[in-house]
Amino acid sequence: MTISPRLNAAPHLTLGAHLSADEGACLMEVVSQHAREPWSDAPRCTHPLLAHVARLVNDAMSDTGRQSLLELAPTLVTASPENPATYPRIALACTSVAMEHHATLFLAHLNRAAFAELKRETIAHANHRTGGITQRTRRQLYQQGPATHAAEEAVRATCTLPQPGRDEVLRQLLNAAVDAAELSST
Amino acid sequence: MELAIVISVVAVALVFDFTNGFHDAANAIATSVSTRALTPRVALVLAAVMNFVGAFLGQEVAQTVSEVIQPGGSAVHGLVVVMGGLIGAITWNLITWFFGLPSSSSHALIGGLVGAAIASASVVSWAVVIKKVAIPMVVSPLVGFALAFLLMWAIMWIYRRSNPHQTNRMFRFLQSISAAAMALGHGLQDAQKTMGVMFLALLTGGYVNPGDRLPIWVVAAAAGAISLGTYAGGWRIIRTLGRRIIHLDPARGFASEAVAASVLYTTAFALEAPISTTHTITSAVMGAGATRRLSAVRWGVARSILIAWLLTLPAAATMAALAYWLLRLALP
Repeated sequence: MTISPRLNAAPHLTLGAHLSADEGACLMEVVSQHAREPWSDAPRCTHPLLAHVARLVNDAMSDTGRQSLLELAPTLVTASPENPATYPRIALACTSVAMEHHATLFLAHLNRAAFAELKRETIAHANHRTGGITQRTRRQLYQQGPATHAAEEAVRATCTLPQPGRDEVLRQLLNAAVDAAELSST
Repeated sequence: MELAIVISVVAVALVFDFTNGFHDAANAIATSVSTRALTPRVALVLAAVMNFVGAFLGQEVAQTVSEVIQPGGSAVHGLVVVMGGLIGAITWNLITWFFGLPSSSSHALIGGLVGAAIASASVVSWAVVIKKVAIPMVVSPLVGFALAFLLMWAIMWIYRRSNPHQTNRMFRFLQSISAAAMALGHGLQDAQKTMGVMFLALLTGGYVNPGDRLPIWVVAAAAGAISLGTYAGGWRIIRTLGRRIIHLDPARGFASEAVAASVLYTTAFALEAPISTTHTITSAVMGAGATRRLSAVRWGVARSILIAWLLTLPAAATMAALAYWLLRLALP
């Protein structure tokens, strides 16, 4: 039995997470449907940080602009590279796009941190080093912390821009994150 | 010197309170805004006002917080212990924010006080820590989840033959009451933790006696700080970054808010226990959502709550011990 009114079947992207498809859908929930995974805004088919960027952009966009994100859904289904360099690559891409339009000290710091982390991972990969427990802990802390902050701060900075340009920049940000993830899988 | 340290402790405690309101603002408004029971502006003003009012409603939790430790030695030394506890809690909050680790700022405060007390060989009331902090910390989210699930189940059964649109309209109206009740509960719980630390500082400095009521300026200052923090944090969230709210229908929104408010009041008045308002509200939302689909139970969130239970008290205690030792080097 449900108390919620049923929505029509065509996906209309809305803000936030939803308990089921008939209550609405965000971009990542549509992706979970495409991937035939259980309904979720964090499906396994998409890299966690890329999914986080997608959720942030989904929620930050205007209702009209958000619908244009649907065309990215098929790309997001297959965007899950296992390369540890993916996190700093996405963080660098997001902060770089945001800084072109609204640079802040915190963004600049996160951008530098992403660059440094990417350099570390690239060198480790070139030397075939996966790293001991200290390295792995540091990597995990970077992924949970500064990388996530980079995505959030990039979107937050972009949200200070006036419309109608804001949606366009948010879209650029997500595209840059997707490109960064694709680069990691090559 | 004593007065200077007391003023410093009070100031730092109020900053902690402000950041608490700032950080938790989304909890106070998210559910009502997601069901469109309230507009964002109304929800935010309601949350700020109710947080302020809630802070005046009780002193039991503040009393518990002030009883967790008994700083030993001179008044100045005692104040250094309290300051070390506060700084330890704030430091741990900053670390968990920066590295994206699960935490509970309420329990960081308690952990901080305990850590500073242990480092300074002061007395820790372990009975209070276990019975009024640790046990309620674990039980409150579990009870919140279970009660929200059961209440929602009952609502679904009672209204199974009703017109969905009329039912939604009724619950949207009721949500304006449950949202206010939850914000009141948040103010009641969280402002009192800061009041407890401020009272402990005044007690240690000899400005009040054990068993005294909280001075009205302590209550008003804590109420004002958390209310301002809620207002400031809410606008930031509404304007710039949607918090990942789960869309609930009005009935589930009402059920989760009503249960969360009940748990906050019961733990404040009956158990006199400081609990994590974030964990309580989050678990109530999951409980109500789980009646719709089991995957509403975000196991990642549940795991974060478990990690917070295990990590917060000892980690904040360690930070506080370090802070105390550093302060001892700098101060007599």
